Amino acid sequence: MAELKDRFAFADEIETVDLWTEARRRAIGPEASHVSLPAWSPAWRRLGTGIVAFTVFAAAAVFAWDLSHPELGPRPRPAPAVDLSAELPEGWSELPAPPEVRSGAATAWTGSQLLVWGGYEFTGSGDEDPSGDGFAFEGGTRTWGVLPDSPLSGRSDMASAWTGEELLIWGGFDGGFREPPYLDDGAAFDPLTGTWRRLPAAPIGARSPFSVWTGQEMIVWGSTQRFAALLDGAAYNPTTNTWRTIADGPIDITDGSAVWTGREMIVFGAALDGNNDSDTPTAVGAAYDPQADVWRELPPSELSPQAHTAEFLNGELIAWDYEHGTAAYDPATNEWRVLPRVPLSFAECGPSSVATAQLVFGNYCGQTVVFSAEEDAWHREPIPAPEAEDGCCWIHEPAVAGDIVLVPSLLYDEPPERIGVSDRRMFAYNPPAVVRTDAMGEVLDPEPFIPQGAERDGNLLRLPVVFPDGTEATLVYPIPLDLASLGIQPEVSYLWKDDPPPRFPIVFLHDPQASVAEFVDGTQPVGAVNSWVGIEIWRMSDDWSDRRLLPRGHWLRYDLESWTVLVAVERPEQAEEIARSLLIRETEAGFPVVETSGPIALSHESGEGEGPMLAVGSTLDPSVLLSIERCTGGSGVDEVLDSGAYGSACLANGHISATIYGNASTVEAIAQGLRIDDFTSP
Amino acid sequence: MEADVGRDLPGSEDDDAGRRLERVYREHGDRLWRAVLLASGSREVADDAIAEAFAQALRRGRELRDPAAWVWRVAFRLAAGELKERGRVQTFEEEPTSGMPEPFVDLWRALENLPLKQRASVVLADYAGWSHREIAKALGSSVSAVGVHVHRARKRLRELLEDDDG
Repeated sequence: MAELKDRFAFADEIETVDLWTEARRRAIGPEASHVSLPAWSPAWRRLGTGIVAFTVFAAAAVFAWDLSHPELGPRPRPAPAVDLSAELPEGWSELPAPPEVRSGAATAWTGSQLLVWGGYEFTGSGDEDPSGDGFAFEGGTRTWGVLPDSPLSGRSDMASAWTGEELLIWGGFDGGFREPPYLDDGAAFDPLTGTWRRLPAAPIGARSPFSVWTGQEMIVWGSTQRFAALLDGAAYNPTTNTWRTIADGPIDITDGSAVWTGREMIVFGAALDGNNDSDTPTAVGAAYDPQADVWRELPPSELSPQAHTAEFLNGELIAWDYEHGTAAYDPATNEWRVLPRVPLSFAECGPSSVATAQLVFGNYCGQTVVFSAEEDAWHREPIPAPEAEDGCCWIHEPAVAGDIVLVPSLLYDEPPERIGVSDRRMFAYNPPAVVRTDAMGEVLDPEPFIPQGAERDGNLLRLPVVFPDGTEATLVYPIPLDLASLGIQPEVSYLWKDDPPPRFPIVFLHDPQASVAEFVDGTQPVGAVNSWVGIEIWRMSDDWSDRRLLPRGHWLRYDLESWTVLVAVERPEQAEEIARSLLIRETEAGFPVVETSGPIALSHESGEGEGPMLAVGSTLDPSVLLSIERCTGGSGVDEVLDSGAYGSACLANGHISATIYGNASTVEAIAQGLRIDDFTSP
Repeated sequence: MEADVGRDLPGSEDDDAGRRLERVYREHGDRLWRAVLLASGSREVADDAIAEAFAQALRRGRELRDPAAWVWRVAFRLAAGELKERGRVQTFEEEPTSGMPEPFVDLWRALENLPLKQRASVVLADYAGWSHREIAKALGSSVSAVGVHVHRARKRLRELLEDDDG
């Protein structure tokens, strides 16, 4: 038989086609911009129009909206996700400056673009008007463009939400041109088509509300308006294009934050009057469960009531008050814990913050700080803005873009010299990656799992193993192989019984609080399957699904006592069915067991390692991969490569197949020494 | 028309980036196209993935430090994404190329029986000549997992080809 490489070599005889011209055509695109800041041009408009002559604008920044959406069809697919954290250096860097730096604007990261709509540019004049237009920063090309005209009037401090497809906007402050100066209309912008649509009338009155996105609804509640004491709210569902009223809240808040925990909206802050006096001695909060339509009050926080900001990070509400006191609230235990103070000096400022999956980024009078879950503390992260020689002060407007924070910034002059903006910049903060490495700097995988019950037996090491289908066995190794640091990480996937592949992975992270940032898009879950069993739904990051050759979809997140488990779901409407059909539990020995019923079945063919992985040594390479797979034959080295060798062992009377990787002598030794005792099939 | 390459391209005002990328295309394009064809089983997918990968590279201009590696990685990801969209991850769209020698036709038919990850891994290893580390980087997998995929793919291919030979 011809060797594989020889057979592959025949592929060189296949005739190819020259695709260079086509690549250039796609890169250039059919339209050119004739303005310095190009206008929005939805992909569908150019589709089917054929190639249009392209006018050269070599010196102008070209908005790449069209260029990143070359697909043909009535509705374009989203642009590939842009992982700025992988492209930008760690720490601070600078990107092209925005056309304006908007305060009080609605912002959203779509996966490839930062949308900024409404708000006003602070000039120091005190009479800045809120705008009814917006901009977009294209992460792939790092250019700015303008959004299409909206049907809404100018406003700031509105409710807003990114649904995954649309930017929702409702209500807001109109700049003080009428009394009361609040708005009660809204619209949705679809960046794929570049179109706006109006929202139906809401069942609540005009206001500048607090808002969150739950994954299904944008909840708007209360008002920042002082003296108004608005306790009512409503929720808008873009799928049904309908509003519903929600139960009235138990407290009034005028200054504070709203966050989504995955199960509840927490509003936290204080109700202040015109003198910044509060009726309550501390900041207060309440949580709203949209499934039950029920509110509950949070216990007292001990934080001061004058000003505050809060974000949700790693299962806790991280709150920061006017005097730099900080505390964390855990909804699971309904308790507060005090955190180290923010390391900044006091000034007459109100803090603000945004959160990625890894950190809270705080801004206080132009001073910036970061709180990371790993440090459990704040540290300063000064923005490298140039000294304000002629101007006065920098205004920073942070916005989250995936795992990084983009900070549009402006330098304004103070009277009497001049009123206006003298400089605009955009900075990017890419948090240093928290990566476990070995002594040689090689990146390590998660901690191996060493189940309880691993024990020495004379000159043997005995290790209990539970397979995903419930098969139990005891692996036995000779101790001379130095398997002291061994561990097992299960690798499981499932499939729909009646469907062909693909199969969907189930990922096990040996940490009940493990970060899921690598797997998900966004900093918060987009829904919950069933709040009482605590299964969250997260949007799968495009990058992860692309890299792992999986269909794009969602994750169900299970929290076990020792594990965080992610179950891939292609369509969110399948979530309930899969959650019902998939039981994931933990044995007393700490081993996770997966059981299926109904329309899905476990698959042992398509996990990353295609079965339980036995890590040998300290590299966490899956040196032995086990699968419930009928086999025949003996054990030994199959293949010797430059990088190592592969071998196989047929165990448990042909019930379990093992693939072994290592250097040739190690593979040989493991293949000969490995054995299974106490095999029990379910 | 080499002098024109790169001119007029958004995001890469200089000709150098375009010229450099055309050199990459001339050097890697055919082999990359064949590799994607072997992994995907579809000329259409291969055409689209390679054209799109180079188009995206052209838009990025001088941003790319290693355009060849970047284009290989992106082309394989685009192809995988397209196969998923078509629901054709498992089955090939093409018949074996006419005029190809029998050993290759057998290999083509055997490849269809492999899962996509194994197929992509073994093509990159045994056709493109990549190391497991390079494949892992391109496919977003771990080195050890790629090793397992390549090993299992080779084992399976040999079994299938031996059956054919037998």
